Amino acid sequence: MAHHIPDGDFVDYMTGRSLWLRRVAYLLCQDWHQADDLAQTAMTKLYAQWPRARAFDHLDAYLRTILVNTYLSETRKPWWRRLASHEEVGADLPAATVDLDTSLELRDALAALPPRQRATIVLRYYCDLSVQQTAEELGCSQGTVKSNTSRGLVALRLRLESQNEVTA
Amino acid sequence: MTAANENRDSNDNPDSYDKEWAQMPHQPQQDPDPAGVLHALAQETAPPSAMDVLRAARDGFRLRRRRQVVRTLTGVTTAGALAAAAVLVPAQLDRTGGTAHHGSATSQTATVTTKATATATVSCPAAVGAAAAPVGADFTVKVAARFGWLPANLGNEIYEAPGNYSLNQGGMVYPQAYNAALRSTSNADPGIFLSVVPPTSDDPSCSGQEMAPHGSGILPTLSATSATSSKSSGPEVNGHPSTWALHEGVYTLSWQTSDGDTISLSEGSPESSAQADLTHIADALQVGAIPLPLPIQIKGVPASAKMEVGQIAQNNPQAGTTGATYDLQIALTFGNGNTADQAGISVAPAGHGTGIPSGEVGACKTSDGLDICVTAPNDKLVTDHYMPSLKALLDDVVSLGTNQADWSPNLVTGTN
Repeated sequence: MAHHIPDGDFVDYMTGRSLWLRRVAYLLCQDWHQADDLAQTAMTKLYAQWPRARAFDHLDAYLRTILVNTYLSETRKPWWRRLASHEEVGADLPAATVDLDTSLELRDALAALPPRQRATIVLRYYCDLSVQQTAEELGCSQGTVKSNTSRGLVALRLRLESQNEVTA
Repeated sequence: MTAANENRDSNDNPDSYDKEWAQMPHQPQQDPDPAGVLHALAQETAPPSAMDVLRAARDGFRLRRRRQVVRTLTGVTTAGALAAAAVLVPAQLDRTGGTAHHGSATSQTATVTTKATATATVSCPAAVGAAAAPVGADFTVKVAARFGWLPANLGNEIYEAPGNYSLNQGGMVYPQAYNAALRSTSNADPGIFLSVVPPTSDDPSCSGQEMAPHGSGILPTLSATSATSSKSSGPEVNGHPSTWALHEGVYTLSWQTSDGDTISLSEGSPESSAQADLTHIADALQVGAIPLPLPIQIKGVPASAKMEVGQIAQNNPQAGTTGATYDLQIALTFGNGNTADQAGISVAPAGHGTGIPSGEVGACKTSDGLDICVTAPNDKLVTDHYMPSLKALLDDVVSLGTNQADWSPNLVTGTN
């Protein structure tokens, strides 16, 4: 049975971007298994456009846009669920990177954000995008990015305050 | 912070965001900014990656090919919800005589403008029966075939789009055909393509016109002369001889019914079970003008509207048995010629409607368990034909509820 032979430049490109793509996906969904699915889908969609996309000047941005759009699309589907429990996530955590409690609090706080606010926060503060760049990748206005950023940060603060009060 | 601050728009005020974050009471000395927090989270130890670049390339290649097929079928560049395309049941409302009759697209030589990106040599099927009679004269929505059996992994997402591709923009001529696509649960690619092509002397394969690429669901068979294709005898399908075509790892099973319809079934993934699956699907396939029950009816459309059903696409018609969410999209045109305008009706279970798309206008309601929206690019364009508003059209859309036993294939009733 005939099989398609992948384009070599695609394999080379993705080999160098897989880790980055997976991490961004993880920040969006806070679950490594779902992150793998999101990243896999983004790679698949990129390859579907590869004959045209390989010449793009900002291929990383294009791939990231595919990923974010895939994530936002998936969150609108009824079967989208966060499957990972805290125990499962905790088992994956190293001892040395960040404080476990703090990490769990932050992850929960991030997970509590609506998908578009979460995507905005990740693009702004992890991917170092400007308001304009974030707006372009999310396909919305700069004003929406600003409001989502502000609301997202306020929500994070309130969530963390609440968790700290419970802990105290 | 990082370079992002330098790139930020002058109207932005990042300081306010950073100040907000700094004021948060959670150990600010350890988490000076959101970027630090996110980078720390991203550095967490992860389980082994399940990402597979080669699988992405394989699936992406199939997706690329399917998109070309959809573009070929629809003549547009957006795949979107119409991962499947079909041609059936266009009808034009004519209240002058109190009856509806077909639009031009229902003729046996409905024309479609395509952008075929590949060429293939096809065998010309011999017409062995009368041409299929036009359907839909009473606005009854019918499909040319229904699946009687499907592999388990194809049960969740089914796209069917009986509709009118009478885009008379020149170019190649297609016979009126019905196509359906079924997306696999992997969500990566439509898994099954079905096409039913009635016999016609205008079959492009017989006239030397440019052909759609294989896999479009339109071409019945491939020539064995293609470097990447082969053809062989297939099993008997309900008493009819069939042919296997293998092209780039994808099998297509084709046969002709006693009415002369040419049926093609192809499986999007080159799995080892493809031939067995396709044979089983073929044996259980119902072929004929089969009424397609819909959850809405349109009543009271004024004759002056010259309404025409452009296209019907439904996702998950088996919803309820699979747990997935049903949705229906209907494209309507009003008026004709250069003055024709379009509107759309979307239907989904209550709470699952997508509302009015960005950049469009319209009105929505929830009725009898269904979210129903009528939308258009511009309210005025439609109201030129349909008085007094899109809301009036919405008021004429009657919900038949969520019980499929109550649904009706008669899309338009009670015209005046």
